[in-house]
Parts: sequence; C-alpha cells; structure tokens
Amino acid sequence: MTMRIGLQKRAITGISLLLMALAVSLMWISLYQGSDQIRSQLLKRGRVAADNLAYNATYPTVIRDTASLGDFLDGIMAEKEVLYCGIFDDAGTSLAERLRPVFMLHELDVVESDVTEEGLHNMLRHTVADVIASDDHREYVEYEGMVYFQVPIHIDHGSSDELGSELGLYGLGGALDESATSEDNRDVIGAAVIGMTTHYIEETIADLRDNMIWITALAILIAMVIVSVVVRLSIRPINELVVATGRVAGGDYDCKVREGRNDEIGDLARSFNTMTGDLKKSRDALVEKELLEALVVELRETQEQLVQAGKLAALGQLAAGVAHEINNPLAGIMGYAQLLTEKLRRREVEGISAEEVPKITSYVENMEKQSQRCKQIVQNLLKFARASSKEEMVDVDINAVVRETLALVDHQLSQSNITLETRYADHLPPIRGQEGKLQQVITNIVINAMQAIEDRGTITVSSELDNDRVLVRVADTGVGIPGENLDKVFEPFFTTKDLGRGTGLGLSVTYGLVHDMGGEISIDSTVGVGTTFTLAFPVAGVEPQRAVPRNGTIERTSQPLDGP
Amino acid sequence: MASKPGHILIVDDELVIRSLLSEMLSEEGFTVATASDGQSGLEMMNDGQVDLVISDVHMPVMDGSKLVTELRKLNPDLPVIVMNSIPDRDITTPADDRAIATVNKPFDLHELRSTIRRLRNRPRINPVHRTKSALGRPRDAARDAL
Ligand SMILES: Nc1ncnc2c1ncn2[C@@H]1O[C@H](COP(=O)(O)OP(=O)(O)OP(=O)(O)O)[C@@H](O)[C@H]1O
Ligand SMILES: [Mg+2]
Repeated sequence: MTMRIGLQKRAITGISLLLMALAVSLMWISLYQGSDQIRSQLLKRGRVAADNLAYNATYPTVIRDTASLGDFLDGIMAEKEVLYCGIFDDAGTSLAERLRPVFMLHELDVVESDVTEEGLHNMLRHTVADVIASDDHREYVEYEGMVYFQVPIHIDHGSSDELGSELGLYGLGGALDESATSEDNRDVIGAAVIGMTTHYIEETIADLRDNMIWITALAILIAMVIVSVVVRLSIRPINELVVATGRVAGGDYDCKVREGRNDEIGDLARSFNTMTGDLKKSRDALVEKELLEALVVELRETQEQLVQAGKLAALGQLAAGVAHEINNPLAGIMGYAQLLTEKLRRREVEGISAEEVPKITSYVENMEKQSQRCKQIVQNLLKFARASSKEEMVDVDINAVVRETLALVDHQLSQSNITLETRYADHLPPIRGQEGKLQQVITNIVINAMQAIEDRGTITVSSELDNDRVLVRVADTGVGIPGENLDKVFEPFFTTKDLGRGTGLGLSVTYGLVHDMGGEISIDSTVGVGTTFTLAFPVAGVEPQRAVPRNGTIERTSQPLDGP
Repeated sequence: MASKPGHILIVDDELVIRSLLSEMLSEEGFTVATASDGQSGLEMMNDGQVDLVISDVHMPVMDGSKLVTELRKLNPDLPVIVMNSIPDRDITTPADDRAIATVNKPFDLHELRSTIRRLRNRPRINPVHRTKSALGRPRDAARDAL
C-alpha cells in the first residue's frame, strides 16, 4: 500500500527545500564575498601601513636614526594584528625591529600555547629574512598564518637636495609624486617589513560565518512557517472542496463551500457551488418526475376503478331497468300460461278433445318453462351487475357460478360459429369468493375468447381440483397472444382491439378481482393456435400459500371430468 | 279462523298484472277492485271493505312503499302483499310487520295463492282489544286467535 502524501505536505516540503537551497547558496556567496572583503581590507591596511612606514623611515634610515625608527615601529605595533615590524638597510641588516611578546599572543589565543617566544621570533625573523632575500616583488607574502608586507625604502635622485629643508612636507610630497616618479630615478636604501597575523580576520570571518548560519537558519525557519501558513491557507479551500465533493458524491446536494476569494480557487469554489446547485435542481426535477409518474400511475388506477365503478353502476342501472320492464310482461305470460294449464287440467276449456289436452298442456308448460328461463337470465344479469366489493367473501361452488355465467353468454354464442364445451369436475370443494366478482371474471375472459375467434372455433371451459386449489380453465382456438404482449395484457388500457370495441380494461379488472379473492390468473398462448386462461383459487379453509394439501379434509378427485 | 273469500284490492300500473290477478282471484270467489297507482288505491280504501291489498312497488304518482306507509296509518293489521319487479332491491318494510309479505315478479300463481292464504289465516290482534292499552298484551290476543 502506498502512503498517500497530501497536496499540502508536498507543497510545503517542495517550497521549503527550494527556499533552503536558495538561502544556503546565498549564504555561501555572501560569506565568500564577506571573507574576501575582510581579507582584502587586511591586505590594504598592511600595505598602507608598510608604505607609510617605508616612507616615514626614509630619512631616519639615511641617517641611521634607530631611535626614531623604533618610535615608528612602536606606532605600527599599536595595531594588534601586527606581530612583527622592522626596518632593514640595503644590505639586509636589521636597523630596528619589534616583535610582539608571545605571552600576549597566548592570552589572545593568537598562537598555539606550545609556541615559545623564541620559537615564534625565530620563525618570524627567519621568514622575514627569506622575504627580504627574495626578489619577490609581490605586494605581500603569506606564510603560516601571517601576511608579510615588504616595501623598499628609497630616495629619489631629483629631489635629494630637498631632503633636509623640506622634511615635514617630504613624505606628503613624495607620496604625491610617487606615481610620477619612475623606478629608474630611485635608489633603494632599505626595506620596511610588517608581519600581520591573519588570526583576527579568521576569527572575524568565523564569527561572520556563524552569524550568517544562524541568520540563514532563522530565515529558513521563518520562511518555512510563512510558507506552510500560506500553503495551508491556499490549500484549505481545495481541501474543503475535496470534502464537499465527497459529500456531494454521497448525495448531499445542499453542501456549499466558501467562495470569498478572488482567485482561481475562488473561481473553482464558485463553479463548484453552481454545479452542486444544478445537480440539486436536476435531482429535484428527477424526484419530481418520479413523484409525477407515481401520481400518473395512481391516477390511472383511480381512473380505472372509476371507469369500472361507472361501468358497474351503469350496468346495474341498466339491469334494474331491464328487470322491471321484462318482469312485468313475464309475470303476465307466466301467470296466464299457468292459468291456462290449470284450466286445461280442470277440463274447463271447451272444444278441445281429451286426446289433445296433454299435447296442449305441454305447449303451455313449454311457454311457462321458457318464461322461467327468462326470469333466470334477468336474475343473473342483476347478480352480475351487483358484483362489487360490498359483497362478502363466502363459500362458493365454482361450478354453479360458471354455469350461471355461461348461461348469460350462451345466447350470444349460439348466434356465432363458436362451440362452447364445458367439463365440470364433480365434488369440487367450495372456494372462498364473491359470486358477482367471479361472474365478472369469467365473463371477461369468455368475451375475450369469443373476440379472439375470428370465424369459427371452440371455447372450452373446465374446472378441476389441483391439490388445495380449484382451477378453472377457459381455452379458445383463437388468434393467440404474441409473447411480447403476454406481460402487457393485464395492464390497464392495453388493447389490440379497434377503438370502441375494447377499452383494454377487461383483463386488468379481472386480474384485480382474482387477486382480491386470493386467487391467481395465468395465460398459456400460442399464436395461431389458441389461448388458455387458468384461474386458481384456494379451497375454502385452506391458506392461499399452502402448497401441501390437507389430506383427509379435502377429497381428491381423480374421476374423469364430466362432459357437457 | 276460516278462510272465506273476501275483498281484495289490486294496485299496479301494469294492466296485464291487474287483469291477470282479477281474473284469477275473482274465479276463486274474491271480490276484486283495482287501481293503477298508490294514490287512487288509497282513495279506494274509503269506498268499501278491503280485506287484503296486493300492490306493485314501482308505480307512478305514489309508489308501493309510500302506499304501505299510508295503509298502516289507516289499519296496522291489514294484510298487504308487495310485488317486487327488481328482486334484489328490497323495499323497506318494518321488520316486525307480520301482515306484510313480498313476492317477486314474475311470480308463480301457487306461490301467490299460498301467500294470500297465509296472510289471511295468520294469528292477528283481536280488533276488540285494539286499544292503546291493549297493544302491550299481544300474547293474550294471539291466544284468543288460536
Ligand atoms: N383469449 C384471447 N386471445 C387473444 N388475445 C387476447 C385474449 N384475451 C385477451 N387478449 C388480448 O389482450 C388484450 C387486453 O384484453 P382486455 O380484456 O384487457 O381488453 P380488451 O378486451 O381489449 O378491452 P375490454 O375488455 O375493456 O373491452 C386484448 O386487446 C387482446 O389483444
Ligand atoms: Mg376484454
């Protein structure tokens, strides 16, 4: 697993390293330049001191005034860096020299403590002798922590006569025309030597370096603090954005980030907020759409129920009207037929021979029977119209209900080329249901079957017991339902029929009614061959879900189904 | 109580029903009067003796239910047979009114005859005791009738 290094840490580390490198190199450059300067100042001082000494020593050297020379040298020795100074004649003999006592140097830690007075002085003298002896005309010679300046003491030929008279101004004038005076006009009469220790400047340089290191370190520290604060401040909104993005991804569209800044991050925050707002809007729109769709579905269901209720109400009204209108004349027909039968029985009808009486009686009885049938039809119609949820769930003999229902469509069927076959199973246990609803279910399915048969065909209605369920099958030899429509036929308003012929409600209502009664409906269809609708209702007193038959209470039928 | 023929009032807006019933009942010895709606039927109650009323439910001017209510105001004991042409739409009759019976159209003549017989022969409150104070003792009346 790789460790995740945050943007913030990376930025801080990167910028800090860069700053450090910059600071350190800057420090080195300044340290280098600083020590160089310190050195060159030392060299300049030494040079000037040596020049002055040589100049001032000219006359005393000429006259061998060692006392004056000593005074000059003492003056030079006032400079603490000077460890040695001396005047030599042109033969290299020392006219005067001064050496700093070694204990002072020890105290000041200029030389190692094991360096003795004699050793130091010998070393100095030896070196100076070397310097003098050498023909080296460099401005200085550096050797073992010391810088030696050797300046020749000389007199100018052209101005030698002025020596005595203008002594006070000599040095100044000499110094002034020195540049103009050529080497050839000079006579070297000796040399002034000054030896300066580099200890002090080294110390100064070391101090400088230490200070610089401290300052640099401090600067780096401060810079790092500033960098991390700045980075943190600039990255925090990014972090906030990262967190906010996570929350939005998690579905919290109300999440907003601060957008106060007037920079790219501020822009990002603003676009983020806009985006979140848009997301929220579209999410809301989506939710609204879903709600709307649910509402449409609900509306459809309600409409469907209303249509169904309306259908039923209209049918109920119609049935009532029909019943009233038909029952009165029917009562007349039946009543008179009965009266006639009675009269015939009592031989009260004249002009009819005794042999003819039974025949005529049977005619009248036939009239009566047919009227009875009419009465039945009207009653069924009323029952069907009454189909509503008001009805109580009762034990129903499904065979009886199917018979009654088919009687209603029987007439219509006999007008067509459709043959109706029925096979009812004997001894079917009752189911729990509502007669009106069952009638409506069967009517809907049988009417569909009739409409599916284009010219001639057969509708077979059968009942059977299947474990704990009573099955009713309505099979037709009609056009069939294509596979892609099998799921749709139960949807409200799905119809393949012409406008006005089908509302597409029949099966959806049927489905609802069957399920209301705890039943199930299924379709088996082959295009061009036919369709079978199967209704399954749990036997009364058996839980609908129970698949295990309660042997003993339910008589299992294995007898052949009875014919039509 | 002996079932001797009496006076029967038939109320129906359908002519065929009126003539069928008067034919049948007069042949059986009843004195029959007819009316074509509840209002005129009610008026005929004042014209003479009526022992039983056979009435349709659905009629113009005054329907069967209203007629029954009015008849009960005149005589709480009068036997009434209500003929209903819409079987499942029961007319509302007082549940404890034992002098009312319903038949559904189209009816069977035997059924109608037996209903008439049953109503005429039913135990009834003795008219002598039909005072307000006597109404609280229907059992005595029933015993008298037996
Ligand atoms: N027995 C069948 N054979 C072939 N197709 C059928 C059969 N039963 C139903 N269908 C198909 O299912 C569709 C839906 O049937 P449903 O009864 O719901 O409505 P409908 O018959 O078109 O109209 P409605 O029943 O409201 O008059 C029908 O249009 C038809 O295409
Ligand atoms: Mg249909």
